Amino acid sequence: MKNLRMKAARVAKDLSQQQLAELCGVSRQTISAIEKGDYNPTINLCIAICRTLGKSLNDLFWEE
Amino acid sequence: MELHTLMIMGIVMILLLVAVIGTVGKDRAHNYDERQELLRGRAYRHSYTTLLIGSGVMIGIQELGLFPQIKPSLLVLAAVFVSAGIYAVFCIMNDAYLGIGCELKPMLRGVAVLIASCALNAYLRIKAHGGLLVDGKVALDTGFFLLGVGLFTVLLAAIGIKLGKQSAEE
Repeated sequence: MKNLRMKAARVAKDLSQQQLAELCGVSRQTISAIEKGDYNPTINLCIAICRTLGKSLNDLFWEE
Repeated sequence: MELHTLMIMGIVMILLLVAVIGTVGKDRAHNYDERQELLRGRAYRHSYTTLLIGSGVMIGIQELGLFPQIKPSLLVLAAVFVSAGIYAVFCIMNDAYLGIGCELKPMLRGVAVLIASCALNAYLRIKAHGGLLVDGKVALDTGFFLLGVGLFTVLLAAIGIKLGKQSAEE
C-alpha cells in the first residue's frame, strides 16, 4: 500500500526524495520504495523519517 | 614460474583485495542503507545457490565429456561468472546497486568501458594464438575475457531495462 501521508509530509516540508534520503542517511531509492509501499522500513528508519519530517509514527506509519 | 607459486601469489592478491575492500567499507559505514543491505543478502543467497548448482552442472559436463573444446577450468570460471551475474542483475533490478547511493547512468558508462576492454583483450588474445582454439581447446586467457564480455553485456542490458522503467515512472 502506498504511503501517501509520508509523501504529503515530505512535499509539505518542500523536500525532494534525495534531500530526505540524505537527511535520514539512506539512499533515494529506499525513500522511493517506502512511498510506493514496496518496502517496510525498520523502526529505526521510521523514527529517523518522522524526526526529519516533524511528524509522529502514528501520523506517518500507523494504518487504521 | 611454478604453478604453486602463481597460486600463492593469487591467494595473497585476494587477501590484499579483501583487506582494501574492508578498509574502504569501514569508511562508508555512515552510508548504511538497510533496504539495500537486505536485498544484497537475498542476492547473495541466489548467487550462492546458483554457484552450487552451476558447479554440479559443470562437474556433470566434465564427467560426461560434453563440450570437449572447452577446458574444465574455463567451465568452473563460467559457473563463477554466471553466479556473479545473478548477484549483480538482482541488485540492479531491485534498486540495490553495488555502491550505496550509486546511480545507474554512471554505472552504464562504467560497464560499457568494461565490455570494450574485455572485447579488446579477447581480440588481442585470439590474434596472438592465431585463432580461438589452442590445441583444440579454448585458451583460458581468451575464454576469461569472452566470459567477461558476456557478463558485462548482461549487466548493460539489465541497467538499460531499469533505466527504461525509471524514465517510464517519471
